[in-house]
Amino acid sequence: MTPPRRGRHAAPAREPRRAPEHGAKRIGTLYEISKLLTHFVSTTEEVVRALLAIMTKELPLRSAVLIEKAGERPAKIVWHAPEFSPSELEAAEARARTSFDYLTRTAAPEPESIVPGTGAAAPPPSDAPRPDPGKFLSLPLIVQGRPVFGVLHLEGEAPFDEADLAFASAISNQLAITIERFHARLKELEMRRRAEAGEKSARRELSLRRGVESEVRALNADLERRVAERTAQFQETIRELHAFTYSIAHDLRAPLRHIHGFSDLLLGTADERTLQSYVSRIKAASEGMDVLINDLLAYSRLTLEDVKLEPVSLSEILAGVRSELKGELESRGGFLEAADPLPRVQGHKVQLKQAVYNLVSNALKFTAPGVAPRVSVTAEERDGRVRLWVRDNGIGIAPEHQERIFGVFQRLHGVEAYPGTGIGLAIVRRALERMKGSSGVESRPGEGSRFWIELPKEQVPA
Amino acid sequence: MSPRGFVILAVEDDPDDVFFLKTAFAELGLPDCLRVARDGEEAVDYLQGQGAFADRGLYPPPSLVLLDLKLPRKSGFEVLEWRRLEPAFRRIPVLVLTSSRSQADVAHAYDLGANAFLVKPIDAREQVRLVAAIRSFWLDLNLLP
Ligand SMILES: Nc1ncnc2c1ncn2[C@@H]1O[C@H](COP(=O)(O)OP(=O)(O)OP(=O)(O)O)[C@@H](O)[C@H]1O
Ligand SMILES: [Mg+2]
Repeated sequence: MTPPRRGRHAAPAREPRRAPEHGAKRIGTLYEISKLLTHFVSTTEEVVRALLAIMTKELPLRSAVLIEKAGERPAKIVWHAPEFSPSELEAAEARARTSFDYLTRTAAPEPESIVPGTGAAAPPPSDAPRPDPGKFLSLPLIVQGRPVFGVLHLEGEAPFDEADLAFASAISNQLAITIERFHARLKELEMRRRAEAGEKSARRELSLRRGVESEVRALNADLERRVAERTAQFQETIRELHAFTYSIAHDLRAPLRHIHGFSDLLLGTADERTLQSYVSRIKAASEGMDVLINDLLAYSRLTLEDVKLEPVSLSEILAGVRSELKGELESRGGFLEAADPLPRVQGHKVQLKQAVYNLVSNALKFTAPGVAPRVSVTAEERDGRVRLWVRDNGIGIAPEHQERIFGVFQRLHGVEAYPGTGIGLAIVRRALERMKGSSGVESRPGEGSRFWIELPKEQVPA
Repeated sequence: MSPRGFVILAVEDDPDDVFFLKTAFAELGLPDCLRVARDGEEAVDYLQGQGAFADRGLYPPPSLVLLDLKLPRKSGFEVLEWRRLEPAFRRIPVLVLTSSRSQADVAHAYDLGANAFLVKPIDAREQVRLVAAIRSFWLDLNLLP
């Protein structure tokens, strides 16, 4: 994946096919799903069916096949659109099976068919229509640190795009956790039953009942904790959605209004110079709108995408950022000095690069007129964490604004003084939170700023 | 003081929106009646006659404030909150003039004591009519304190 670059110098990111409201609706759907899974007490099959029902509202699915072997016996669950023919279904199941074999890298045991009337997978009949491969999506079922134990294979009416992939993998991740947990609990109960079956005395029975009671209590406590966690997560999402609608209402309308306004004025103007200036303002407004949309999408991607943390070299990240900002550095006559080597951290390459890019580009931007920017990047290691500092010789920030600027679309200046949309630091904060890190700033007006981000040290896989 | 005897303070950070306002005021023959503060902090400074706005000859107390909501440093809501606690400025009418039609924004602005909530017009002619209407209602018809 290419880093989601943003801003005026950034190449436009590949945009998802759907409009942003669609993303908002999907967040709602993910919420629905999480609610469902939090309260999940029934069998896997019921859950999977409920989930598929929700998922088909968002993705144009023709069929979905789930194969998993988390429990003692492998299981298969099949869903398909009503008009699906048996041969099509067979082909879809065979493809699911191939993905399963491939992803779990085992000679898969014969899946037990739960759906009546659908036998074990057979190779697809050669006369079956060959669907477009972009319409297939096989998602591994995996719980952190364990081997893949299943696959969710989706076949769509139309090719899936990146946004669909992000959405579907968010679901399959949740599903994997749920199935895993379900089997773990089954196993535990079974073991307990066996252990207790041999002992028949009344006392045993009493203690057994106590055991069950305490288990129920523990289960409830666990459930409550999970609900609280999810609720907090969703409150955060809802706050973000708010910020989003707010910015769409305020910021996205502005350039449109300007384009319209200047076009009106154009119609009544004969003077060549005035005409030119209106046209260039129209151009600027439409470019501004493009930047804004890209920024919003970059930010929303942060909320929806799952991040996998892995060892990352900060030196490499900085080298990448430096080369992207080369033009900017040269034109501003500034320089960027960095400690070498910088430590390695546990993070997500793309998001980390985005965060460092945003900090360094701010450091280059917010200098007093006529002052060449000097930026220095250093790192500090303490207690298993790495703090990266980005210092500048810029205008500095008054204490009362230092928290505010990390919010979405919070700026301290008009666009005339310093261009920008005010999302850069919101992305930094969000990205760091997602990587189990933190971010902040120390500064005083007129004395430059020292922005920092902090992450866990790299964890070398055993 | 402007030759007309009144001044309107527009709190607006967007240079294009400032341009449209200036054009509308000029078209109505009121080019000297408009003053601009570019963020919430400047608005407070202006009203208090401090900082860059200490010269009351150049920056007389406004008869009316046009307030955008999304502003750098201090938002329009924060300016409204501040004004509520300031007896000296509570009576100056504040007309919110913004891009948003959000019902939540409208309710919040009125709760904080805004006197009107206007949506920035998309059309330049409409902008002139709006300024004319503001002038005739708020400054000619309405009795101000
Ligand atoms: N290094 C800095 N020195 C001084 N002020 C800063 C610095 N970095 C950020 N700020 C202040 O914080 C505000 C928010 O920064 P942020 O990066 O979120 O937005 P932006 O740079 O204005 O726009 P964008 O990054 O979206 O193009 C800036 O508008 C600026 O006022
Ligand atoms: Mg920035």
